[in-house]
Amino acid sequence: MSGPKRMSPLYIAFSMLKLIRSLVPLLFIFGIQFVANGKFPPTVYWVIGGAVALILLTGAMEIIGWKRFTYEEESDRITIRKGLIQRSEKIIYYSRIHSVSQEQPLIQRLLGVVQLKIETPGGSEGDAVLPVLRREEAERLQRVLNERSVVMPDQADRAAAGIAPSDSGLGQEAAASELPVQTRGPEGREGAHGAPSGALDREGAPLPNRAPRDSAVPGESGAADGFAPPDSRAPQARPAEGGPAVQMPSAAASARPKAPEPELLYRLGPGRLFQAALTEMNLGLAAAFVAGMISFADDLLPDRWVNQLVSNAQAYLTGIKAILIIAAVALIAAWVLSLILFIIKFAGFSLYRDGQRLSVRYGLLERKQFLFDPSRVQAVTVREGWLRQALGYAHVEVNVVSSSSEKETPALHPFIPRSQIASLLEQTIPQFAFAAAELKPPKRAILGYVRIGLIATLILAAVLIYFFPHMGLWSLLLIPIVFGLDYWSFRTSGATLDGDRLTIVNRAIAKQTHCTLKRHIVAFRVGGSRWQQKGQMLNIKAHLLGGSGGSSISVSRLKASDAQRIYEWYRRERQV
Amino acid sequence: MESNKQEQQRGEERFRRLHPDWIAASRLGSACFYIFPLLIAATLAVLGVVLEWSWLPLWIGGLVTLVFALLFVFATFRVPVIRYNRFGFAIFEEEVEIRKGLFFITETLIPMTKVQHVKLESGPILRKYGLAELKVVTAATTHSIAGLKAEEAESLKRTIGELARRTEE
Repeated sequence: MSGPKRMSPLYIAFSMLKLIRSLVPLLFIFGIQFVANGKFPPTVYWVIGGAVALILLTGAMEIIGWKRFTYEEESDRITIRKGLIQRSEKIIYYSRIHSVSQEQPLIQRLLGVVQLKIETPGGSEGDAVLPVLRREEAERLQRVLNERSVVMPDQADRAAAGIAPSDSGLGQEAAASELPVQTRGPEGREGAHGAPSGALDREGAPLPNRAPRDSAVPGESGAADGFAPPDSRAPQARPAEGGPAVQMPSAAASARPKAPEPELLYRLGPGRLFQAALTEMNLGLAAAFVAGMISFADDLLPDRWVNQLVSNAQAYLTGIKAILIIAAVALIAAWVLSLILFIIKFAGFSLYRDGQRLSVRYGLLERKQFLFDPSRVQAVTVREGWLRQALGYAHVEVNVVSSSSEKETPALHPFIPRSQIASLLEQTIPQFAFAAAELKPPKRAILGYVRIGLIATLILAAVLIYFFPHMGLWSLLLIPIVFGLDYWSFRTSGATLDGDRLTIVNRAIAKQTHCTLKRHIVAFRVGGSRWQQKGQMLNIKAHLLGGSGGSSISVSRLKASDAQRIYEWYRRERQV
Repeated sequence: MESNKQEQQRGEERFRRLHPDWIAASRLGSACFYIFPLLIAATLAVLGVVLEWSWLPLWIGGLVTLVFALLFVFATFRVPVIRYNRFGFAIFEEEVEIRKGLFFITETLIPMTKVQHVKLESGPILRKYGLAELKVVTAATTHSIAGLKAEEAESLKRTIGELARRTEE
């Protein structure tokens, strides 16, 4: 509209810093050699000289790069041009924009600028990133893009239908909640479909409030008004259940102006954050980190040090005590590590309602922001680690269709008392609920649940005992542990049907309660081995969108009748 | 529920079968694949005896060869038949249903609204028998119906494409 624009000139500094960051490991290696030998190896001057020259060259080149990196807002699209040698031009129509999010990775945070990411439904290939924007500009652009992406009803509708046939259920749902679509009256439904009963099944049931409201709101951009139901319901819910929301002017909620400031629904204070971090035990992450450290030490530290360390350790630590000590140290280290990582990841966690979207922001070093439309949430997962479960707390995350390549599901709340989950969901994504498992696996399924674990640990123990006759005996301890976990998993697992909602509960170590809706399930599978079928048991598995390659939730060995019931529940009416 | 009763009556008949030629095609495919490990194992076993390799006594070589031979026979002669008997698919106005399995027998429902596109594939072996493989792709999963006569697959492709388009509007 006003010609091509450039990003902040800090872009040049950004490119240089990016290069410097990639040189950090080099610095590290030289640092260690310096500490170990007391002097730098002679090559260091060459390397440093080369690096500085490279950085300066990059800076000079990126001045042109910055000049060439432009974005232009036009009436129906945004055009991004960039490239120094190989020029590229990306055109994104507003109607195809899926979400716009501000991010602040480390370098941007240091420079005090913001990265804006424009996501389209076409996978990460189609995303556009404006890496260095001033904050005000990013705010403005984000708002403008968000407004425009919902302004043109018929275009957005067409886009939603055009994305992909499979997405259409979602797309229409989203379109319906975003805009007042008048064409979608009852006669439109019956006319368009060969099978009206199926159409009703798909569109009529889920959100009873929505359809009438949409046709009632006149043609203004209904961004604020479209999402009234949860707002108006929330005030009654909160005082009664003591929900987590802090400040939300209840009367103003439905009569808000058109483009409101994001309103804060919840912020995780430092005390809570610390509590949450204390109960976090991310063993996998910690193990990966420790392994990385070991291989790093092995590669880089001078041999002398490593040998000394190892021989010291061997001198002091022998026998069973050694194993116990090592295990204890590893556990504590893992715990401290996951504590720190948790704090870095979730510091400043806050949940906002931005128009009719929800926005989640968190991160200490790298600020992350997830902006999503509540109607695009595919599933909710409530995760209770064993420690948290004992204390009555849980972690809630939502599965949103996103084109980003990282498979991260944004947290809706990292640390919430179990009793408040219902009201949190009610306020934010009312189509989901938190329910306990009703359809449980039958008693005869116990064997199936524990069998594989038992056999595997027995073999492992046998092998260990064969090779280490004395120490190996300790591996027998694994058997009751694994058995206990498997049995626990059997006790926890189950499923619940409630109208359009399907809840599946399963457990690895943490208990996970997944809730999804019929219309979000992409494909549904039941089945089992011949043994299972003889025992009248079936596994169920629901495939969902979300993540990058889709995700699935499953539970094993439900009663065959229950599994069949869920299968029939998913089946559309058919008339062929 | 009445539909439930109907369900049981129709039970198996609701599924369509693959074309019987698929068994032969599948046999050929499995044979081509499983013959390699068998040949390698046999060669090594023979070489081990002839060249008197100490790390490969006859009994190990023989055992491994035997295992691969059994696998070859099972995969080539038995598996395609089991698969064929278990496989069934049904196309309704609003969904596709596929039943299949070897050890695990599963039934899958894919609503037409979620079908993203339909794909026809035929490799050299399938082409030899005039067969084609139909793949129903959703945003998260891919389901394959292998072994339909080419014309039939073509018409099914059109049907599903049409249905998927219609249900979406």
